[in-house]
Amino acid sequence: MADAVLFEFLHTEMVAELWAQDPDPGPGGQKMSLSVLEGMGFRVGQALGERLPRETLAFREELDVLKFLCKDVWAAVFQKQMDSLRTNHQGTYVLQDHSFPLLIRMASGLQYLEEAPKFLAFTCGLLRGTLSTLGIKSLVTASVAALPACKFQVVIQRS
Amino acid sequence: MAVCVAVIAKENYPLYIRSVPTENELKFHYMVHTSLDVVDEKISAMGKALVDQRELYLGLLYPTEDYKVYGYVTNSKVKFVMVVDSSNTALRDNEIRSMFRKLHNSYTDVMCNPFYNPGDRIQSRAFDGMVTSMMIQHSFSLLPRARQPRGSCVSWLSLGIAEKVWVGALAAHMGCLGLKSTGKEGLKGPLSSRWPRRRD
Repeated sequence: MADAVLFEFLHTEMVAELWAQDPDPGPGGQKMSLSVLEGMGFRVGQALGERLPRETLAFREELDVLKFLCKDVWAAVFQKQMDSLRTNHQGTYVLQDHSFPLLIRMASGLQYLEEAPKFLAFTCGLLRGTLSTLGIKSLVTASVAALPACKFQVVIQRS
Repeated sequence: MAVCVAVIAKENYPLYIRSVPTENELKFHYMVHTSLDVVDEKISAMGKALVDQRELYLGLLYPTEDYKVYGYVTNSKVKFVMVVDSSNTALRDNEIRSMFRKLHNSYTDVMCNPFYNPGDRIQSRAFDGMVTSMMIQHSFSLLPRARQPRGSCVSWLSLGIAEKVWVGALAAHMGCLGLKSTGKEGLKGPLSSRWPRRRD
């Protein structure tokens, strides 16, 4: 399917471009690029959160929104559904993907583990943006234990 | 054909409000404002009801002697409010639903526009054009706002004495709700006092 791979190429180039500006970024510079990526993902997620649920009925509760995220949003962006969703019922959700499409081309094991976070920043922003349009303020972080499996942790911020 | 169309953000401030220019606009602004209470009521009733079917279209919010007000809420808690003329009895529910669907589609396009910051007033000409096509066409009005590049959101800023009347009515309304008002709206426009803008 050509469509899926177009986004992967674009994403790879985006990360490469941001890192090319500063070939040896110190910890401060790296954080800036990561937050730029996350910000991009956030804006895309906001638009996605408006467009995708158009035909679906109103969400009843938070868990419904997270399920929508795992099934419909993931399927729309990555052509597959999230592999597992766990929650502690107190505002923390862990979304697990065993073969994340943006990482699957890189390695399958422990090689390139330090490079993996840059490729997850955009997706974290995407999740945060979609949640924010649907009315949920959250903090999304990602962690990789072994490529290409990764976990996204969503912590709902209740004010 | 709608007489007034409004898009309200989830924090309850207006993103876009436009009415037929021949009528007194304040009246419509106030109608939209009061309909927000009804919308909130319906949304919370929807939350408590155990019925599976949770529709986005809210239906007739309340009828007045001249006008009927319809509501629609999206999944992102953005509300669309439409005021139609009561004398136009040919309008059926299906037509109102299709008008709201068109509004929703246009709003989604505005959201996806990279030049639009979510939370700002809607200034898109395409959105304006779509709303114009939904508004009632009076034979003696040219709907001049369709030509203004900044959309019609400037209309409430240019009110003078009428603004003071509005502020007074607003203060009375807020007084009934037990809220305080500063009374000094300045040049920000009459609706900003009740609808504080909160941005992320």
